[in-house]
Amino acid sequence: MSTRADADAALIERYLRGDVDAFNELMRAHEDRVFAICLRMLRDREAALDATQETFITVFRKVDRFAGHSAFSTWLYRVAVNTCYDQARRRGRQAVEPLPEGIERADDHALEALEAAELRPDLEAALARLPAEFRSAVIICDAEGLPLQTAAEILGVPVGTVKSRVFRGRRLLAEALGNLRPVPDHLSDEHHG
Amino acid sequence: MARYDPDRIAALAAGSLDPAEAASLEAQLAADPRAAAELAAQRRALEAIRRAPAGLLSDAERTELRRAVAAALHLDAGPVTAAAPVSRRRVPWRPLAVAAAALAALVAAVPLFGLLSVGDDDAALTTVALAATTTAPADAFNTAPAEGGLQEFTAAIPEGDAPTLGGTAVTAGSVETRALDDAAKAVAGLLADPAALFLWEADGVLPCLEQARILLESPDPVGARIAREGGELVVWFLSADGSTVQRLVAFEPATCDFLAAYP
Repeated sequence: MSTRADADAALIERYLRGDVDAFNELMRAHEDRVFAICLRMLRDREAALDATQETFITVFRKVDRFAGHSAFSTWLYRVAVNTCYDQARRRGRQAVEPLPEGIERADDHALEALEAAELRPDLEAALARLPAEFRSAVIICDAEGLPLQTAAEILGVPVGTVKSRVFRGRRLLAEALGNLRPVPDHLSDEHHG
Repeated sequence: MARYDPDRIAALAAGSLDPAEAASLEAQLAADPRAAAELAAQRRALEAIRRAPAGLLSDAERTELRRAVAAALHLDAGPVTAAAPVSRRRVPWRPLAVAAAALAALVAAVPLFGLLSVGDDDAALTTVALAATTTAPADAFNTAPAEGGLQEFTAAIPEGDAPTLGGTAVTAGSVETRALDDAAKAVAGLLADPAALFLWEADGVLPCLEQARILLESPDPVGARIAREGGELVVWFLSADGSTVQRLVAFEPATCDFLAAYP
């Protein structure tokens, strides 16, 4: 495991022995990234703070059951992503939508107007238009730069599915940003199995 | 297009293929317009995501987050085991979240007003930021206090008028005031005739983008370098139609000191 993962494992041991400093060190090491993920997922600072708080409480409450098969950070981010799903669902946000069956061709005139526009729509708004499964894959892999294998563990899906979601998520994002005319997608989301 | 493995296109866009494989695949894709468009879209999306600033916790949010988590875990009452009962008290995050946004705006504006002397802690700065108002001439661009805090930092401050910040009168120095006045005139001119903004061609990396993103609350503003009396200023702006300006902020290019905003 990495140095960070080793350090986290040692901190968890200290925390479980009642060392409050270990709690502070774990928070310091991970709070920014958890918050960044939550903010990108939820697009609302208040909601992201709430989700970040809930994530850490959940993780510390269950940390004695953390088996250490994966890095602590992987488990932490997985809890964060699931907390964001739950929160978005509770709030009835658009964030949690079923995966689309396919990408429909948009009106050609609208596309031309979009392509002609000098300024692109806001990236965050474009991200928000992605189905939640695609958005989380894009955020974890592209925004946070985590490896595919780690993303697969966080999202609880095979690596191939992560690849597919990142690919399609980027494509949808490019379309939303006005960089690509939508094309029928012959790939199924789970084509990698 | 179906001949190409989407995973390899995605990996090529991300730069994770070895150089020889990348060169070979890129050449193949270049011969297929549809595949080339796919690769370009993957790269553009990836670049847009990577350029977007990550959300950062403010000091106040960080402190409250740790305190709230520790309280829920009863760590504030001394060391406990993880099996201790957990109760989660919902923190009213909104004031902190609003304060963080206002603080970010204030940090961008602080060099202008010399506000660092007001106090060092975030709470003091936040209070000032939330209470800040500026006085502006009637013929300047919109200076009415706006909701949310960011637009409160409009900077058309006439010479001799002192902005009132959180009850503390702050008098800008005459040099700074002149700089503000020049910037306000330049920005007013740009708003009356924004063609120069839209026709400006980039001649290098434009500074102050991070500050502009915070103030405009947009990850992707458009920038331009504009001449003004006695020098230049850098402006970043938003436009929906490519011909009119919706929001704009102006900075001193060398220091990124905040000079003016519209509205």
